[in-house]
Amino acid sequence: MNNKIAFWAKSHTRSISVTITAACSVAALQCMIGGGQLSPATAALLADPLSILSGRSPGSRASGALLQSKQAYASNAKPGNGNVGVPPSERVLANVRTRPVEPLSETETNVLPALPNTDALIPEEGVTAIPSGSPVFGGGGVGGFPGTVPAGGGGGGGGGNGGVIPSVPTAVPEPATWAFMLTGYFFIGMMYRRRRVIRATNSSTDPASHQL
Amino acid sequence: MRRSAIMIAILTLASVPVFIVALAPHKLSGSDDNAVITSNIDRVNYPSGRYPRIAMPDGGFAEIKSLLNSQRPMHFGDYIWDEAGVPAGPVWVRVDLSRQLLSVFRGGDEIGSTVILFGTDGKPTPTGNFPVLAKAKTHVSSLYDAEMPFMLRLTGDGVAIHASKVREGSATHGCIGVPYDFARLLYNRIKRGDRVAIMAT
Repeated sequence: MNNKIAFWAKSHTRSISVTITAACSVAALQCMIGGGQLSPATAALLADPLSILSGRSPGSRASGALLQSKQAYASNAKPGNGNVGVPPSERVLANVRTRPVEPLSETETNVLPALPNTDALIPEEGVTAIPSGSPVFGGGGVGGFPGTVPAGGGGGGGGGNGGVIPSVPTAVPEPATWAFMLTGYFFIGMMYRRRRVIRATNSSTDPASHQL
Repeated sequence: MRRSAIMIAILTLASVPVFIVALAPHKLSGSDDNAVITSNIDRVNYPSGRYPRIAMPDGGFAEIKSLLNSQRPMHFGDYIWDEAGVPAGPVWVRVDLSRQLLSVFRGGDEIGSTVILFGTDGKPTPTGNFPVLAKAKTHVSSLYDAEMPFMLRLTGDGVAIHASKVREGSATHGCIGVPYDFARLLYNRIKRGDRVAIMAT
């Protein structure tokens, strides 16, 4: 019989606690409205803090499968502590990182493949030497370290999405981005200038000199 | 030629805010960090001279003068905060692991409460009295690949209160996770050395 009552009480804990809390809060309101004087009966009905907290609580957490909210770095993985860890992963441009790395043979060291005579070539600003086997980065000016997060990211596209990229302290875009933007504006300006010249030409009274 | 130059200058200047906005760190809409926050929550005021006491981890007791009366269970991600009319006093925190709650008190009056995330069974949150050792508005964990905004360090081995994505089914590796806005409110009110009492029951 006691077991049944206990079981019923346990399964209805929340509704019981809410009822008690409601009764007590009514009593508390009466106390506050009534002023300082408290009858012993009302004082007894005033909820004790723990039952107010129980009424507010979502319940105790059931043991068992829980989502881990943090993932350990792979460098912290040790055989004993059960910490398998997760290798550092790219959060931006995820698709670019899935290209497999070609394994090196024993005779080769990690050097660049032999290039043709590059004396006549002038390297573009911002392009650094690309180690073999690593994916190509966009956005120029970024060192080619495979598998790591590039600081800054071209054009600042990846900064604001809640990822864990180390935040860039400055808001200045990359030089290549600046150059692109200014070139675009230059062309817009030249087009505008041409239209002005054409309009000036077409406005003359001689129709034979009009251009498109 | 001059007009095209002016146009280019205007377009360049207009595009500068685009870069700043894209790269700006997460910043909430401007709010005075020291403004008194109220949320129109009822308050249960205990009669003076008969304040109830709740147990503390070191065996002592703390007097409670008033509690926020939320009147219904809180969900993961909810918080309540009301410090209107609460007199000045030392700020202290009571964490209740079995109820998954955190309560902030100023003196004997509760000013805020929220549902928390805490350590898994394998990496439990320790119980006891912990003074706040350090505060940091933005902090990246050195052990885990995680950000810990509004961190309040409690122990030397990594247990802290910080902002987290509080949702049912999640747990931490020992830290106490609270919603972001609540973490900001708590961070602005608590000081180094203030007491955090973590209870299991």
